[in-house]
Amino acid sequence: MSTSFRRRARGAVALGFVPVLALAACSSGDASAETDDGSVRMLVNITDNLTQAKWEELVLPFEEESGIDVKIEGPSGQSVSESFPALLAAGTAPDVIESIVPGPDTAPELLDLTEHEWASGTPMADLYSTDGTINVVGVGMQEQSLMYYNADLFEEAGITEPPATWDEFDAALAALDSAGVATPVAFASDWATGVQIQQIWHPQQNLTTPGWQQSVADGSSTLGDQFQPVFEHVADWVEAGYTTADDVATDTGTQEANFIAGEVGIYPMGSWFSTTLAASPPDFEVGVFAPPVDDAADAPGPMGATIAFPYMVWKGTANPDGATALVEYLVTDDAAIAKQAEMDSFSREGLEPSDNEYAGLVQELSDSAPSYVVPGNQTVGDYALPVAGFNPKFTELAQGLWQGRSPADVAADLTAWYETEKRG
Amino acid sequence: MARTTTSRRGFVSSLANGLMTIPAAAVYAGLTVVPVGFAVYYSFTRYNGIPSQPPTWVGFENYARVIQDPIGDLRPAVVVTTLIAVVGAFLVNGAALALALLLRRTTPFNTFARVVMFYPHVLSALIVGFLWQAILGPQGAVNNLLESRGTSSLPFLADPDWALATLIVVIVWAQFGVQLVLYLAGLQAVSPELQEAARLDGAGSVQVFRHVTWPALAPTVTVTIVTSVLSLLKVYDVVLGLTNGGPGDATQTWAYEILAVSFANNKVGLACAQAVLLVLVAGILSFTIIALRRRAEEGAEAVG
Amino acid sequence: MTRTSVRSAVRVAVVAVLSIAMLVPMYIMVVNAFKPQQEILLSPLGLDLATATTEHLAAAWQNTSFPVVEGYAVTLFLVLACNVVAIGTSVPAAYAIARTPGPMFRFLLFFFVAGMFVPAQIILVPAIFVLKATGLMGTLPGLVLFMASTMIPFTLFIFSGYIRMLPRSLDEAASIDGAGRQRILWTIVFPLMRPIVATAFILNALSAWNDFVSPQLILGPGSEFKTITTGVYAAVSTYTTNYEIVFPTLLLAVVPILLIFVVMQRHIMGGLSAGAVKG
Repeated sequence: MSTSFRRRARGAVALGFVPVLALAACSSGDASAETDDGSVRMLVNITDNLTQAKWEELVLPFEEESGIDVKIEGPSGQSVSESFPALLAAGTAPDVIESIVPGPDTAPELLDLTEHEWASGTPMADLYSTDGTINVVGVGMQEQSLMYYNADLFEEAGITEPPATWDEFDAALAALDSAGVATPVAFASDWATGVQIQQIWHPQQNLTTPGWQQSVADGSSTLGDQFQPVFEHVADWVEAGYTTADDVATDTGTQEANFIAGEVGIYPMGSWFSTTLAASPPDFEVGVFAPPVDDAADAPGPMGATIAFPYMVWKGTANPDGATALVEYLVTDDAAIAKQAEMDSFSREGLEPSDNEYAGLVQELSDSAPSYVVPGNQTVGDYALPVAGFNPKFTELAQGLWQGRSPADVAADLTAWYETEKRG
Repeated sequence: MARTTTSRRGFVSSLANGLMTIPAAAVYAGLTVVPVGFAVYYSFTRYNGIPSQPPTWVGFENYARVIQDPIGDLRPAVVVTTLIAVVGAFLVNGAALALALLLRRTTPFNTFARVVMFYPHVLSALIVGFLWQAILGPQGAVNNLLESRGTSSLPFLADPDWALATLIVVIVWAQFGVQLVLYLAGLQAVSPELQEAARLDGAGSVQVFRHVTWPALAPTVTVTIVTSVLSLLKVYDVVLGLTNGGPGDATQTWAYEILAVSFANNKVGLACAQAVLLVLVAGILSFTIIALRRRAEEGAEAVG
Repeated sequence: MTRTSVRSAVRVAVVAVLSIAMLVPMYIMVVNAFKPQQEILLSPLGLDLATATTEHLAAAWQNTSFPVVEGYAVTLFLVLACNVVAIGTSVPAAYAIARTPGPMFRFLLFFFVAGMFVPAQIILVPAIFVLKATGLMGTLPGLVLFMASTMIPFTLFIFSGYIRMLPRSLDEAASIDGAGRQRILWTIVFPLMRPIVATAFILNALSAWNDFVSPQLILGPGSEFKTITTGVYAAVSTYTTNYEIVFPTLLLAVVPILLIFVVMQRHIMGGLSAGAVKG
């Protein structure tokens, strides 16, 4: 009896294994993670402006000339900054990575480009280098601290000149509010809350503490000290009703649609908004001014800027020459640069002014800025804040201002977070 | 349970039964248990996830960070997750059971209704978040309607407390279809003869339910409670699409902390420690639920 | 008779109202697939027939930069293969666990159920290490095994719960007739499990369908096998607020699986064959 039990038990196991074995047996062994056929894989950000089709058009001339096949990959539902470490861990990292800048974790994985002459000639190469090493190059600069405004609404509200100081700014907001404007100043949800507040603060912050990131990193200042003044401004605006809790629950797409529909007085955003404006031009006049500063004599203050279209090369690529050649093409070839400017506008010396009138306004403002500064949420190079996740945390805490939290408390929390999270 | 076989036969029988579990155990052990082992190992290290920068052993440092919670950012996530699990489990199971009873018979109308109740689960959680944002956002469909009527808008996603309540409702909406299907399947196995007999004896529907259906359904109820609680504990994708953890940290769940905060900042060690704690809590909860339901289930087998 | 018809009418009314409420988001998704961006944002519920257009839907269909039909085929294969493995291994295991008394088997159940405690995203990367070690990384079978392993806990759990509801008298009767364990399992118990197997099939199919992260990471970007969701979500990144792309894309991803569900749900209600349950 026991032998027949055992026989039957073995039968049971075998039956259960059949599906599993069948699979393993028909394994076709398709482990094609390496691109050893001379092709180059590039991981890029896919957005409304940066579509797959546009990316492929961009690299087509390079493919034709060099014979190297370029494969464009999007992060597919995640962001590039999440995808890249995951792909590294899986052993399927791409050759070229766009849209993110090196962080303390990823920097060791990147190819050093310093030896290439063309690399050091790229815009913002110095600001984004670490101890003289260049591992990311871009095509231009995206201005960060821009206050887009609805000129028609300004006129209706009796505002004759764009404000230059905080007092003038508050007065402008009050005027817009009295004129019945739905949203005098529009903030948006998620990452935008943090980014917009920082953008408004760049000029004055860098006037008060030049190179503030280094001061925080070496302990002579704290994040709380750095940002409390702007938190106080925001808290005042929340109290006066110029911006509401609904705003910070509204995504940027919707807020931008509101601006274009004429419901918003002032919209702080980066230079890429001018591309959106050009795609759906509003039926009123749009202007741009620099964020306010304390003292009119200092206006306009230093302007926040980030590198446009950053490209990095993975150190472990099977095709370093091809990958480097692609990056060189993207950041030095005039036609390629012009095409990228069409996709997402940016500033660059000597760049042909585009048909985009809004980009032209931005360029004018940018030209009058005394200097450019890197924002805090770009932890890179010598201006890095030695923490990860600065902007999400900043956003999370800053949104408390709309719930009535006091600026001092928010600032204190920010400092506490930094103290706990900073590396070494 | 009277043993009708000798203990040796019983042992061999059990062994033979045990062998039937091997295929499932092999796949599961290889691709789930072993990776969990990795995760446990990482939880004792500081590691940024990049293979060329190997992990450094730090002992219980990550666990200390989680439990001591120096800046109080993890405690709210615990509260949020607990609320979602408890309130959500009640709502999900209540709705699912009620609708399963209503839609028990297979008529064309019921078939249509079943598809309607289930389809939210078909949509990926990310999409569910998107959709409900379009409906309940400050300028979403509902608020548009309210404003065109002259009433002020409702802060479904703008106020922290409202946002959490909205999140729970949306999760229940998306989730209860699974439990509905489980209850429907379970109801099919409840002996129709017994119910018929009870009804012939003059019992009303409520009594039939209480004394025949509900006890016979006991194992299904255990399954639905455990599966709903477990999936509620892991809520993440819906949060991403609906509020991305906002406003502030009002809708950050524990899984959000693990994936969108710790992992996103390349703190694999900390993320794994948080995950291990989640697994432990989930384990204790399930064990408790299954143990508490033992008696009811044995009653169900007796009914059969 | 009137009492039942009143109750029946009330029942239908309640269900109908609930159904309408449930369908609002679906309505929004469908309606917005035919509207331009600004209209989507500013009037989500309305459908202005004057501006309604199928161009966005057509664009979404072509936008996915890979053959859509093959994408559906790959996804369908995954759905079937994962279910074969998950259900095929779980049925015997669940039967053994449900029918065998003793602490060892209670522990086994718990061991499997513990798999449901773990969010899949956390074990994905370590699982890749395992796949690399066994040479299955980058292969379709490797992907199937990983996805099936995430389905086994739930499948086994619901199977064991269901089998516990089936009377032991059936097993005992057949055993007395001389049937061995395998025969009892596959010829008597398994046919009775139709509703729960169909349930598992549908729920696992959904898991497989909506998973766009595992195929991407395990198959690798260079693979010729792309699932429909991986390809389709390539058009929808975290930063997309272009709903002209989002809604038609969602429809593409959702409609087929809904159809699968409509077809499968009849099997859940297949019911017991007549005379199976004898006292």
